[in-house]
Amino acid sequence: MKKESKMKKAVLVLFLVSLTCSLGSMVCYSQDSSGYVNEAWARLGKREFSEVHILVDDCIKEYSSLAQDQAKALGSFPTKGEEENYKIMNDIATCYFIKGEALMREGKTEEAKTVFADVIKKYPYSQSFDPRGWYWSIKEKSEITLKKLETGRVEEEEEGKVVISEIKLYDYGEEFPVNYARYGKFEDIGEENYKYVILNPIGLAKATGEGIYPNSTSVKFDPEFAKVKKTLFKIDHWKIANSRDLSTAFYKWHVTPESEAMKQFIRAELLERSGLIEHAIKGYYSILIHFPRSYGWTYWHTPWYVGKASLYRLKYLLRNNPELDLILEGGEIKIINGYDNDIRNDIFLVDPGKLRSLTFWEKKFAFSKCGEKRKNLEKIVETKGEKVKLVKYKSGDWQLLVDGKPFMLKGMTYGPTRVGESPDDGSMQNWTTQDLNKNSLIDSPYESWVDKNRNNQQDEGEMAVGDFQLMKEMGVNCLRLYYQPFELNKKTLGQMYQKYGIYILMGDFLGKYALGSNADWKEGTDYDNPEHQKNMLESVEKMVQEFKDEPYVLIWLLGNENVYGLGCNADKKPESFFKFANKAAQLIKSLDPQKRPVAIASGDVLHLDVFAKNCPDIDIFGANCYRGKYGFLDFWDEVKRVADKPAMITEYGTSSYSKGYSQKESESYQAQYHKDCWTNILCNASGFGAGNALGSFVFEWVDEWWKSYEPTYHDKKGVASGPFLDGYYHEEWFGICGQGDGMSSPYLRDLKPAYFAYKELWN
Amino acid sequence: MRKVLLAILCGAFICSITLTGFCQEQKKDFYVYTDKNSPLNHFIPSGWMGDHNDIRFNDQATDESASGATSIKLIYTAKASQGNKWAGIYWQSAQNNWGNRESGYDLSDYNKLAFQAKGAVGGEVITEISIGGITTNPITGETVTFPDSSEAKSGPIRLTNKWQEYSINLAGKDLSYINGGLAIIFNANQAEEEQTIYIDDIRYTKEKNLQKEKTSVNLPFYIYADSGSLDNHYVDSGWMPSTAGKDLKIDNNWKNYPFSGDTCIRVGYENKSGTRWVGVFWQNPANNWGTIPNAGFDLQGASKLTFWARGDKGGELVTEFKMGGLASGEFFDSDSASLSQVQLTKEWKQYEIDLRGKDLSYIIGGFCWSTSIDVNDPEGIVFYLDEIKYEK
Repeated sequence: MKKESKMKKAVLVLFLVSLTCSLGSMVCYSQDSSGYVNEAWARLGKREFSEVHILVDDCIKEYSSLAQDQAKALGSFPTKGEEENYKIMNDIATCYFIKGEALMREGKTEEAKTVFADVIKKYPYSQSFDPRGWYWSIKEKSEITLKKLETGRVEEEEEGKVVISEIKLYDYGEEFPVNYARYGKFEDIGEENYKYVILNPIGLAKATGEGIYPNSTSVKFDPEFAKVKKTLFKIDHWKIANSRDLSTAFYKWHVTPESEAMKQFIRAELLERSGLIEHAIKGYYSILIHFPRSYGWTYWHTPWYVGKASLYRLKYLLRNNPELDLILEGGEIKIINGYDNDIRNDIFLVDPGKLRSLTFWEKKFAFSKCGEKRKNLEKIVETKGEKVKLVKYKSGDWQLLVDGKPFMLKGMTYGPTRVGESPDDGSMQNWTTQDLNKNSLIDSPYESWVDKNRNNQQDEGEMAVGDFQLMKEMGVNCLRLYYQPFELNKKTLGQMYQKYGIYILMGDFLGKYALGSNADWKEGTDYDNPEHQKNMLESVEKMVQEFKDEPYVLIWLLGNENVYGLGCNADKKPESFFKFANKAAQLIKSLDPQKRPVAIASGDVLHLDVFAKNCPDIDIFGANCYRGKYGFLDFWDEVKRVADKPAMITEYGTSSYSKGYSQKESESYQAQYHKDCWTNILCNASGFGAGNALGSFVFEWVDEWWKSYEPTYHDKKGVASGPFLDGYYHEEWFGICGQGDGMSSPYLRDLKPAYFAYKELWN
Repeated sequence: MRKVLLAILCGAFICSITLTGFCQEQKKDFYVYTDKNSPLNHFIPSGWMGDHNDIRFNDQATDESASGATSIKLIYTAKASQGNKWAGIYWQSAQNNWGNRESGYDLSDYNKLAFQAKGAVGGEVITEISIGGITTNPITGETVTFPDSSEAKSGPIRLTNKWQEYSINLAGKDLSYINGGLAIIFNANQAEEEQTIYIDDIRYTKEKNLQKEKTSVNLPFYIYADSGSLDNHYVDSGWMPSTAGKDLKIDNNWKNYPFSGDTCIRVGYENKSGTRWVGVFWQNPANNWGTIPNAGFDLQGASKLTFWARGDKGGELVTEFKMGGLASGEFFDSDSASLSQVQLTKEWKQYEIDLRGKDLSYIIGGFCWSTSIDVNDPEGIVFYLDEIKYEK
């Protein structure tokens, strides 16, 4: 009874609120600070400036006193993970920022400058959350904008002098490879209690040499170390690790306050970058021997296993340096319960393996691409689908067949956002219909031209060719597209398939970024909420009904790294998410007469075990995977072991800008990165390795300039740390093509070396 | 006036005839303090350090004196009022001279610092008494313009309630320029509670046949034997990261179920700050991350660092136990060694860090542990440590 009365009251309140809203001004006020911010962002995107001002002014009036209290408590940025404790301060500072942006767009430059200056002064340690997963400094962005307003151009911090050095070892050690059995004993190999007990540490240190655990003394006799040791304390060890001053970095990483495992890993990486491959192999292998259970954390606080990373780097180096005549026999780190964010429940079964010389037969294949002989697949034992078919062979390998022919996915993430457009301010246009010059040709697909000499001008001979043609020539056979939030132009997609032979991996976000569930951003999609489920299934049904008869749809795709959260609770409720994803897959299969495969786009192998248990109707495990130039490491093996499904990479790549490197070096690194990743895919496709790789989708076709907020400026900012050349994600430089100086966007294409690398690999 | 002249004359005569040797020795002594306002005094007690509000200083105490009319009375409250858990005073050659002025003395004629000391009740502890050592700016780490030519130290010293003479062997030291004539350091853990000490007759002197002291330590060399034990070395001052104060509750005087002796160390860790990890370094001296010269112990000869540990419930995971590896300054540890991923049992268990082949010539970070909430009970953990020592 009491409950009923409460309910009535609530309904009445809601009714009154909605009445007030509809009768009053256009903007509805009563909300917490985040509510104001979300609404103000949305209104800013729609250029509804008067509403923006009402919202931000109200929010500032209501919460600024609390925000100032929070600001006073800070002398620096809050510790990572603590940002939410300063939510009100962050929201108020964001309100100022939005107000400044609104004034700027209204042409009220002087007023905008005052507001930006105000927020810089009042809230220097405030941050705003980017839905892609990180916080950005409001002060920093305001300073850039202020400078832009004052000087008319965006300025970035100038790059200092780049110091380039390589490691010169003083003590190479007495053995390669090191015979660990000589200096200690292995206990419980392959078991949970694996251990290597050092019996003769001095002998082992002599054998390993400088910089390889447990040798910590050789470096002291290194004359180069003696020269710099008194200055090392002044150096930031993470910055130097990503620099090109490899020698100083190597010495610094002898005396950093990190764990022995992490120190060893970075030293091995520096040795590798210096071309000291044998010593790098010693370094990585020593981690398997001594610290196989060690871990670190990614920027997004997902576990990163140092031992596993070392194992696959070791394999990479052995495969790419066959002249060393070495192979790792055994060598496996299995992590039971290793697919969640909780490392408390991890159980490590460790076999460090043994480095030994290649046999005669192994030598025969050592110089082949994958370092092994192609397997005999034997007969097909399982088939899924019709025109587009997945087959499993008796060997356990998987293959995708289209019209009965093997089909390797050579995919591209395609989103040719014009310079100056951004989803942040609602200015992003639908590329499938964009026709700026009104000539009835869609701009990017048909009218882009290659700036061969990179002079930012369309010279004679640089005729319009179009992205579709360029991609066809490159060897692309499939694009990854989502049918949200823009309506896709079916005519354009049909032409792409008919004329250029390019298929579509057609996706529904499945509640990610609250898309499809009708949840608001703050609340996010709840995979246990029947209303959200209903909305999402309707969204999926709409997609299938709309596209089921289109021949260009190759595979249906669900989600986009939902397991990381962001506008949904799949990170907190992975089981609910995967159960629901399976429901969506069942729905697709019931609607699609062609029974095309259904895939998921997950986030790396996070919660892979939950996927395996709950998604029998999802045919392909796909994931966005950024694991560095070494390829995808244990990804294929893990998917095979845990889920036994075919797999694909739905996003991967690196930037063509790296701090401290020339454009040529950075672009060349990007090309090599892609080459190595593709080799890794081929070496795990049917007949090789795990035998379950179906292909991949490069991220992305063209640089998008909006990603670090200012859409008219090609921002070099590293938004988060990652396994790249200079250690950072430069989000706006992941394109296989560039857009030059941006003045000829969306038409100009600078084809980077990665384009030509794929052209060679994919044709 | 006549009487005075006579006395001086007689004195001179007696010296010249009967006590020549003694008088010459007296002349050579170079006093830091003999009595208040004595013209023989040198150096000024101007360099107050650490929790300096915890020290009450009286250099004209008349309630006790070893000789003459006055002594220096120091009351140390051990309240750690400024959060450092230690406090001290430097006697400097000129007021507040931290190496920026050339006012030091050439004390090359001496080979020993000697002084008289007593506690008010007995049992009081001077953690360290030293000379010299003002060589770098503690903030910038840069060498000062006029650095001390040497440094020597002694301690901890537990006093009795009787005057006793203590000394520091300076044989073989370069005393050509000494600005820091004396430093006295107290530590809150060792003092445990407020203590009153008296010092008198502090002087540089020359002792015939005094040999240069061996620098390496005697083994076993304790980090922690028992709370307040004079055998303890290093200070558990290196709390990491800066938020550790919110997350840690450490009791070095935990009396319930120690492994040996009367006490053990109880560590309580909760992730209140949200930082997710925490650790503590035992440093010498306190808060030395590598910026202080001549501060490391020479532990050569030790082949292992052993300690006993247990978890409150069992299963607590300490990410790393470690020695050495402090390197945030010019004067860093000569080496490091560690034991990673240690899962504690509910019962006491001994662990060992192998030091064979390690360079232990200069160790400022005697012991360290670190852990993370990510590998432990999200509510936090409690664990205990005891009998931490370097052994042969």
